[in-house]
Amino acid sequence: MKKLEDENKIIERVKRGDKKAFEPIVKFYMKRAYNIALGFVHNEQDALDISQEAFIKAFRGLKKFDTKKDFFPYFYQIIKRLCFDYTKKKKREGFKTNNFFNVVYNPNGNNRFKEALSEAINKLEPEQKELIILRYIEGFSYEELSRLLGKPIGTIMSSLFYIKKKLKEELEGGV
Amino acid sequence: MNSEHKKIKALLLPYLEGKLEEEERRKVEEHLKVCKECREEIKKYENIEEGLKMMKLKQPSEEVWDNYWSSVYNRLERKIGWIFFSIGAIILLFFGVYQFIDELIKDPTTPLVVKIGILLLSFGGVVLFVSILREQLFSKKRERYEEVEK
Repeated sequence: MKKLEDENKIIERVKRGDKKAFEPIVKFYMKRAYNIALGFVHNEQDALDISQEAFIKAFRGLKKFDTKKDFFPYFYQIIKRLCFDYTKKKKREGFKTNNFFNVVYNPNGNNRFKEALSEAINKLEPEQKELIILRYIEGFSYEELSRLLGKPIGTIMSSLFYIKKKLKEELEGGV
Repeated sequence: MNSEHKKIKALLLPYLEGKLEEEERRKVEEHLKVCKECREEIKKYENIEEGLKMMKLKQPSEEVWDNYWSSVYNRLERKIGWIFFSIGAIILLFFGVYQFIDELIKDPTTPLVVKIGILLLSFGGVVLFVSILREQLFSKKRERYEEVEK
């Protein structure tokens, strides 16, 4: 898991009340935060807002943060909860969440397989989509996923195995 | 052959990911030479794997990234600003109300029933304010994001 150099020292400074010291942390994790949020909420502007809100909530909670630990797993819990709250709220208000296909970058525009794959990903459960984003967009290894999600490596591997099987079945049924 | 085929089919994904022991890997390779269905199956998984690896999400413009930190910083400051603003507004409001009530109560021309009404209104207002404040503080303490392991 890529980590910011001197992250713990920076967090110590933030904990002492230095707001500007938080800047390198935000700059280092902002794209990752946005991608994770986008993977859950499928709306670019909302993903941006949620990622920023997550940094604000993380900043407020840093006073009690144990600097021996890594920042990202802590931050990840916050952003994930914000995304789940967002989707729940949308559902409660009767809005339909955008299709995952809308947020996939497709420069060629006419790749039918990619389109079908995005549609198939859209049908996955949020936890399954989460694994896809972390593994394939953010490039996390099985070991890193295991640490981040607090699950054994075997469980992560079999979940990904099951997801690919599900995607294959979806593609066979849909293409 | 059929049960062997089923067994091998279940091993295709681990095979693609290089997770098989030498003997199992050899068995899968032998089977692939003679089984068209499994060759097609493996091709599908390869396509999915490749599609997932190539997948990219839409990104905001560079300008958005350039302004990202200042946006977070402003939101952080704004929240602190709102807290001070609210405290100041509450103090001024209470002072204004106190002055107004004080004048009315001390005024000998104010009828007794109005004085009683004002006292009850003030007492009720204070009780409501304390109740809302306590509720806010209590819900803040139980905010879900505060429960995140630190």
